[in-house]
Amino acid sequence: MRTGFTGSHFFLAAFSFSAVLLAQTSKQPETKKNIPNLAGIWNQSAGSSTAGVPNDDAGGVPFYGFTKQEPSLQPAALETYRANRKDLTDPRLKGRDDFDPSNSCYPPGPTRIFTSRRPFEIRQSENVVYILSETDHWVRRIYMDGRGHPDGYPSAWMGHSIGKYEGNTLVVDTADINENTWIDALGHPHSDTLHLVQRFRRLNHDTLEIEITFDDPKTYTKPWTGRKIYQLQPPGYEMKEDMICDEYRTPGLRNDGFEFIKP
Amino acid sequence: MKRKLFPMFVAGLVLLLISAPMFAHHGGAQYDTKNPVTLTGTVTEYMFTNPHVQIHIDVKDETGNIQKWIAETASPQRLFSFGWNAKSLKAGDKVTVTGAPLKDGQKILTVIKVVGGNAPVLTQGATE
Amino acid sequence: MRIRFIGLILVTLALLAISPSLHPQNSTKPTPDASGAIPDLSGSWSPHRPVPVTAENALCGIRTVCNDLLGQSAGPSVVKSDEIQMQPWAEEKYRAVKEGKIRDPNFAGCMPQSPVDLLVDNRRLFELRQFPDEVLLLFDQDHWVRRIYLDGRGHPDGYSSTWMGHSTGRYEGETLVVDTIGFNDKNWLDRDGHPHSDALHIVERFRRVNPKAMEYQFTVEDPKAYKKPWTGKMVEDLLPPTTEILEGTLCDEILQLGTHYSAKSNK
Repeated sequence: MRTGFTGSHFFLAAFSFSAVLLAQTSKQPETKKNIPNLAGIWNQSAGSSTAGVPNDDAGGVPFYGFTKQEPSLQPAALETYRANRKDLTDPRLKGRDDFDPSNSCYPPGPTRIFTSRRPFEIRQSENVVYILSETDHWVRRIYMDGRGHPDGYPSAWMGHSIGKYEGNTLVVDTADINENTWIDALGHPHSDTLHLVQRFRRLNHDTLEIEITFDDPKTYTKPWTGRKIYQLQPPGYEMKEDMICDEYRTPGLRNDGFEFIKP
Repeated sequence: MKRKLFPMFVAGLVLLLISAPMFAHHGGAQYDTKNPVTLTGTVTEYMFTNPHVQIHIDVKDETGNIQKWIAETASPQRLFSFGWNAKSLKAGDKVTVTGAPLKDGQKILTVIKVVGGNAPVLTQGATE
Repeated sequence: MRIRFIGLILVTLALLAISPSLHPQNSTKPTPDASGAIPDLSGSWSPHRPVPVTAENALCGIRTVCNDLLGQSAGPSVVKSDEIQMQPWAEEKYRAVKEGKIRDPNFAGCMPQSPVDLLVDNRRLFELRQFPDEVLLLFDQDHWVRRIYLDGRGHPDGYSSTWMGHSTGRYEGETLVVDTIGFNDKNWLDRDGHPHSDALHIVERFRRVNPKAMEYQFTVEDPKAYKKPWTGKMVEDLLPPTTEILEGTLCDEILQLGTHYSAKSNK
C-alpha cells in the first residue's frame, strides 16, 4: 500500500538521520590496532635488603641504578660522579644527599623516577601515553601521533617525549631534558643534550621490562643501555599523594622573603 | 611527604640571603601604565621559563651609557601557544619592546609588544 | 491506514528520542558499561575567560597592566555562586584576604591551588581523560594529578591532610559526579580567597553543555568554615585539540643546588 511504503521510507530515513547524528555527536572508537596493554601501577620489587639498603636485583643491577657495569664517563663528568658518591663505601647506596638535586627540591627527571622506591602508573590514551610517577605527582606525556621534537622546545624537567608501538613494545624518544637532575638515584650526571630511547615491554601480566639507552656525548664516551624489571602493584593499590619539599612550603616563604638553607 | 632530611647535618647554615628573587613578583598597581615606554636594545639573556618569560636587554641611553632592563611577558605556556619558543630570541638580537615600567624606577617593564629576532609579532591585527 | 502511518511515525520519533546513538561516546572506553553510554568529557580545557586571549593581549603578563595599556576591561567574574555564610573565624580570615593582609598561599608559600581553585582559575589549563576505572584530571600548574576512582570504592579510613583529597565518582546520565574528602587547610578554596578547613567535603558535577563547553559545578560542605553548604558554577572552554600543555613547576625559579628554600628564620 502506498501509505506503508511511505511509512517505511520515513522509518529508514529516520534511522539514517540517527546514524548521521551518531557520527557527529559521539566519538567513534578508532579502528583499534593491536596495541600492547602496558597499563597499570608498576614498581621495583622490594626484593631483599642488607642493613636497610636494597640489594641489587638478580641480574646484578642496583636498585638505585640501571646497569651492573659502570658506564664510561667523560673526565669532567667522572669527577662530578665521584663527588656525588664521595665517602660512600657501599656501591648500592644512593648518591650523597648534599649533592642530590632531589634534596634541593629539584624535580627527579625522566629516568630517575624509575630508580625510586615509589611506583609509577602507565595509562594509554588514543594519542598520548601517560607515565605518572608517585614521586612528586609528575606527569610524562608521550605523544604518539607521529610528531617530532619541536624546534625550540623549551628545556623541560621531564623532557619532550614522542613514541610509537613496535609490535609488543612501546618505543619512546626523549630530548630537551633539563640538565639539573640525576639520571638515577646513584648520582650519575647528564647534560642538556641527553637523548633517551626507552623501550617498554610487558613480559607477562605482572611484569614490565624497561630498557633505556642513554646517549649523551658531553657526559658519556659512548651510549649505554640499562634494563630493569618492574612488578604490577597488587589490585587495590592507590597511588599516594607526594609533594617535594612540602615542609618548606609555608606562607612566610615569599611574605617575609626566603633564604636558601644548606641542610 | 614526610621526608627525613640530612640526619648528618643537624645545624642549618644560611648559605645565601636573597631578598629579591631573580623573578620579582610585582603587583599590577606598581607599574606605570600612564607612561608606557618603548625601548630598543640588544638582548643579553632570554629566559623562556616559568613563571614569566624574561628578556634581558642592554639599552643605550642618550649619553651612550648602557642601561640594563628586564622585559617581562606572559607565561611560556601562553607564548608557546602563540608561536614563541626557546629560540624566538637569543643573546645579540636587536629588539624593541613596549610596555609599562615599574613606578619605583627599577628597570623592569611588563610588555605588550616585542619585535626582534625570530619572535612572532603579536599585536592588534597581527597574525600569529 | 492513516492511523497506522501516524503510529509508525510516533514509534520512530520515540525510538529516536531514547536512542543512545544521540549520546556522545567516550572514545577511550573499550566497551560501554552495563548502564549504556558514557558522556564524553575528554579534552583539554580552560576555565572561561571573559576577555579571551588574542594576539593583541597574549604577550602581556599582568592582567591589570594589560587592561590599562590596551584599554580593555577585566570582564565580569564568571563564577556564579549562591549565598555564602561563613563561620566567624572564616569571615575574619576572608576579610583579611580582601584587605590584602593575607596573600595567596599559592604565590606566597609555593603551595598548590585547591582542586576547586584549579577549575575556576582562568589562568589554568587541564586535561580530562576518561578510562573505564578512573578519570584523570591533569593540571598545568605543577603537573598536579587528580584521580577519580569509578569502581565504587569508598574513601579510605583516615585519609587526610592532602592537597587534592581522595576522589570517587560515578556517571549520572550526562554528568560525572565526584565526591572528595581528605584535605589539609593550608590553601584557598578558590580565586576569591574563600577559606576552608580540613573538614572540607566537595561534590562536583561535570557536564558537557555543548561541543565546546562544559559546566563545572562544585558544592562546598565544610561545617567548620561555613554555616551551610554552598554551590558555585563555572564554564570550562574546550581548547583546540592541538593544545599542548607544557610543563610548569611551582617555584622552580627559586631552586638552588646544595640548599633548599625556606622562609626567613629571623622574624
